Amino acid sequence: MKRKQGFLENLSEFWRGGLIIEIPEDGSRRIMNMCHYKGITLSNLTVCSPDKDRTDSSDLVRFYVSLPDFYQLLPLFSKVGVRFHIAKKRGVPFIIHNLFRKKSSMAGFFSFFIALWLFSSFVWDIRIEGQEKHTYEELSKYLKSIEVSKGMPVKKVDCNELEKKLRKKYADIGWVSAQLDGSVLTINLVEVHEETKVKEYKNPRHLIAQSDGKVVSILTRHGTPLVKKGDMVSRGAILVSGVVEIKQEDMSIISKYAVAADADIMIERTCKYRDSFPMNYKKKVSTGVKKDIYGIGVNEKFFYITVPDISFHKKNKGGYYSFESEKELTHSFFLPLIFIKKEYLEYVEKDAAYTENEAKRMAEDRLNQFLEKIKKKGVLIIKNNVTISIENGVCISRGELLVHEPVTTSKKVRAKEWRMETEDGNKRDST
Amino acid sequence: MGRRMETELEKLNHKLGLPADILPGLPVLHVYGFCKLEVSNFKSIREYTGECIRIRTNYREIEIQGKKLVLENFTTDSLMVCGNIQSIFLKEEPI
Repeated sequence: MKRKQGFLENLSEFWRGGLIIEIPEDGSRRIMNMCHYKGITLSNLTVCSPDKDRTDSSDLVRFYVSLPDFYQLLPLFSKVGVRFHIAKKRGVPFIIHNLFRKKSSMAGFFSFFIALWLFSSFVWDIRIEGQEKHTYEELSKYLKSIEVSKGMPVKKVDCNELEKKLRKKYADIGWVSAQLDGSVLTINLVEVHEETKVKEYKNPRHLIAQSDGKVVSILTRHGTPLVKKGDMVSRGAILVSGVVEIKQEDMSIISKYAVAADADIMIERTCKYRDSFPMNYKKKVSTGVKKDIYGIGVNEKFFYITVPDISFHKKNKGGYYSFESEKELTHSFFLPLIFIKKEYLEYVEKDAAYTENEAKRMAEDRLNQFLEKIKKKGVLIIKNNVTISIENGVCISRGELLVHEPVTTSKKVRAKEWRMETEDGNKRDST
Repeated sequence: MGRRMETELEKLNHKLGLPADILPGLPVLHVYGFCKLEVSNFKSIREYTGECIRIRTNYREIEIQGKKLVLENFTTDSLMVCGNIQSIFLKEEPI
């Protein structure tokens, strides 16, 4: 009958290891009593008859003892003079012992840990997340320039330094976090839309209008404003002069000095918009023919197991799309080895035409893209009078946009504009 | 512990109305049906075969007879006898 044990008790016994020992019945009583006094726990004591091949005819007592207790039991056996026989060994210590008996298993065991340590001490993948304006390639190129690239030792990666460098290089990155997760370097960043800055000049400059329009607001920081709110200005007109005059009470000029004019000026103007595209186009229709190509990538070098045979598209006068997918071993423990699957889909080009709704939606999308683009430059859209029409198989968007545009253009102040001639005919500079 | 001392302690215990198991070294036997017996506070094993187990305690000797008797757990505090238990004798310890 076996003693019922809980799962944890069994697990603990298995972890510690144990032996099934057989001793002759004659000395068993003494051994048992000695175990009782020494505090050695024996279990499953049974009396059994000996095997046929064994010469001694006396009955045997078989019991289970844990490995730590067995070492305490050994001196007792020699003291009593009992010969014991180990019937069975079980548990983790014996499994490990058996494993290490073979040199090849031992070598494999250690080489696994060495390979694990070796591979995990290099950066095998760089992930950049959260970027919109800056492409992955652009950021990767910069990272390479500061010696952060795939295959570099993990020890050399200084995340704080990397964050600082990225923030310094890209002013429009508002927040950046670099973290090393296993062999993967993950860079999370948030881009901020930087407001259009008026170029700050150190040399004396005038601010001039870049287009005809009406001044709707003006706030001067440096320089002399020559226009006020509501004034109509033409292209090239000086709005804020870089020459500052110092006058007396009778308004006579004492001296002049030149500065880099600085002001926030918004000019209202209309700008024309025109865009068109043909209603007919070539549509790519998939024929359903698909070819998969498999390969292996080792540290950005790719080897294809199957030869890419994509000649099928030529006879059909079509082309192919390709989709790539990479399979990595684990999420955080990234090895330089990746599996690539490329999928080629055959297509043929067929004549097709946009419907009226499709064309209008497409034209609106193109207009919105244009508006977003000029908004990024600080331009405010006040009125949009663009109409979309279809004429002779062409979708045309045309109209005018009323916009408020910031003034960003400037021109140099010439020396003669601010240098004054003294009574003796010499030119003098004022500071 | 002498037999006289044992009797005196038992008498005192009875008079005070205390539980019997507070006597020092008193063996405690738990019998679970007919196949399991747990003995606590034993001193040593006198005999162990598949048919008979004799256990020495502080006061008396316990003899268990049966078939296929197995000592399932043998520790300092207690032992558990399993098997087909036929009889349990509480014998006066021979002097």
